[in-house]
Amino acid sequence: MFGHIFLTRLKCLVRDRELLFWTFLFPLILASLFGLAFSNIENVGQFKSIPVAVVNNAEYSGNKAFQAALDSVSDANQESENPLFHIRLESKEQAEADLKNNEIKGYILLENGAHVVVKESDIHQSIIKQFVDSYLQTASAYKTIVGSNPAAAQNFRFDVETGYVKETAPGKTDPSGTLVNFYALIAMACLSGGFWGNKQITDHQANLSPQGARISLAPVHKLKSLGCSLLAAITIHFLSVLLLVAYLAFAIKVDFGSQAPYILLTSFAGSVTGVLFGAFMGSVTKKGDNFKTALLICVTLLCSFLSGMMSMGVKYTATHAVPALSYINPANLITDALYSLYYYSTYGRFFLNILLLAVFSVLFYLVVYFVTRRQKYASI
Amino acid sequence: MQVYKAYFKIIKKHFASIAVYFGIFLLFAALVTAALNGAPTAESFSQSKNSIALFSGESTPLVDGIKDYLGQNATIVSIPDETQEIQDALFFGRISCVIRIPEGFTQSFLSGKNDVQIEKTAVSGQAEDIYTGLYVNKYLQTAGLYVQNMPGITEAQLVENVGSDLAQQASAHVNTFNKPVTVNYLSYYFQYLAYSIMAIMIMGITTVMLSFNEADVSNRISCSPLKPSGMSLQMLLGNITFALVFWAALCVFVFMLYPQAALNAGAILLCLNALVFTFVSLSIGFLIGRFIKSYGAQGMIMNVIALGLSFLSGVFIPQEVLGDSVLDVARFTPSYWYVKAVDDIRNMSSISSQTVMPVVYSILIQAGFAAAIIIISLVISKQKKLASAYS
Repeated sequence: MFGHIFLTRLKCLVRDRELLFWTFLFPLILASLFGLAFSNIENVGQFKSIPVAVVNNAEYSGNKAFQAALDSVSDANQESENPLFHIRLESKEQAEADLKNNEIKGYILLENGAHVVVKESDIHQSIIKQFVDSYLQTASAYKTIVGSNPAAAQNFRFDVETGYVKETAPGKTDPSGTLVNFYALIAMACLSGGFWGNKQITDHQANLSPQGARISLAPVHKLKSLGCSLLAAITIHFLSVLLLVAYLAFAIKVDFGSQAPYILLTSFAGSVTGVLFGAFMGSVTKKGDNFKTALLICVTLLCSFLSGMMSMGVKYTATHAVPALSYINPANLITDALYSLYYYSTYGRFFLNILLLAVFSVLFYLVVYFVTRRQKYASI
Repeated sequence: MQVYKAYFKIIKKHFASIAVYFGIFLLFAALVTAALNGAPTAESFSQSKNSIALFSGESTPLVDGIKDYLGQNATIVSIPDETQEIQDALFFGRISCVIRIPEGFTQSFLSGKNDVQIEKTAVSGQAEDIYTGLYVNKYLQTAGLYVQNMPGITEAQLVENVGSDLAQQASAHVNTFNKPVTVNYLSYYFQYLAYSIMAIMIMGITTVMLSFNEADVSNRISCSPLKPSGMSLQMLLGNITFALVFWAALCVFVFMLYPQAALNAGAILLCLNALVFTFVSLSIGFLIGRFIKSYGAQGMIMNVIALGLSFLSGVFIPQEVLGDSVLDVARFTPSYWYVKAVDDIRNMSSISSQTVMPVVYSILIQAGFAAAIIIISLVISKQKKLASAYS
């Protein structure tokens, strides 16, 4: 009986081509987009020279050292193909006008000290300020050195070592700013199993679909028929998550390190939780099919948002404000399981999260069972 | 106008779910704006400080100098030097970066051999963490100048000199040209709204049109003396009314949140841009609505299209960061032009033909997309009806 229901249900689900197509397609499309978007973040060649103006006043013309420094990072430097700045020399009024019209990102003014005038506090403006700061600091060091030993000016060596810092990883994977985004994507794909879970509930409730009415008439225990259906849904959904992980590993070439088995375990646990979460939401809301879908989408989105899928900062703010949230938000449990693989060299926290996911899955299933168990309809 | 009236009856029936979409997606955009951009404050050129942990295998004046300098630019949090504790702190976000100075570093640095390196562990990829590494390098490069050109300098003297050198900084001024701060903040809200507008429009429209697509209903309507084109047009009219009401509600909502921004030219342009984008989303929703068959697929299709287009067009990741190849593809999507218009409006310091023209172009391109998609969906649905009529 079990096998029969399971196989039949599996065939039914596979025939819902619309849902099947989009559930499999959505994570793959997002994965491709992420892959494209992030491939360029690692690519330094994307840097475009920053347009900067320098006010051509008396103080500037007298400062040969600063001019030389500017030349070395601008178009005047013949060796450099992609210089840091595009410099234009102009009057203060002209510079102000150019800044207003967005022709330049900022201008440098030497007037009783160095000033940098900008319109917003972005990366370009920071680079301009850092450059001027560096010049001032190096000039100050030079002055101190030559001041105490004038002879040093003859063979002054500017060529110091540039890299004193090396990057290390916290856990077992190589450090990567983009890996966490792919983890968030896997978590979101797991949660989208909720649509499958919700569909099972709709198909089992007599007042929601003709199949539901027919199944309610059959002499099969609700626990068995619902359990088999959900198992079939989990099977299909887990396949879609596996496909995503494989796509990420082989096509997008995301480096999961030696953590592959643990990631698969998380995907399975996440998949189960996602499907059962959808079933849970479907069974506790009493309104129609599209309202259930609406609520599912919204709650899933909210959970994903709070677990930091769009911005990591949100995750930390939320967990600092309400610590219990990190343990009751299913999306957070999935992402935490994956992040703990990244941050930790031990697996204590990882298995804690997996355990919590299992507990939630059981909880959701029990609620679904008790809610749908003895539903009576006066009339349909 | 039977179909038109029926359209609104269906909306009334599904009002609960449409209201849920409306509320949650607008809230979502507001939350993301607050999270990613903070509350609207006066512009100031300051870098936010990250929290770091600093461990050192030795205690020398050089190490103290590095500690002091880093302390000026980041918040140093003291945690026990144990692997578990460190990993916990990183995991929960108490710190975002760990700097470890191994024993023997000072000796290797002062002798010029530089065979011992400082280790940095950072996980979030935030700009502030990248700066931490840059600050350490800057300190040591300045100190390196002394080591190379002033042999025999004492460590204490070195640290003192480097300290005073690094205190030299250019003064930064931010000139906002009287642009109201709230318009800047509002522009970010409208940027994230791209996702919300498309999601709400697709969900709202497809919810209603699904009722018309049911086999029996659709066949009965075909039997009626109403021309198929007439029916399509009436549905379109219903959708347009829905879109206009939605856009009006959106503007009211926005100005309730930020009353100071009302009637500012920038804010008006943002609303106009949003209006055109609402129509683009309407056309996409209309296209989907003609073909969709089940409520389950509705959610997934909305996710694929709304989220996919949003990522591609620079809604969540700024357009400047996206690669050229991505942007080339994105240019064929209407959301790219919406985000570009928002960016242009944000950078506008004054209203002149030079600054407004790019925004107008983007709006016109979006309108073109909307018209094209509607025409395509009308044509395809007519073809489909003809095909099924002869099957």
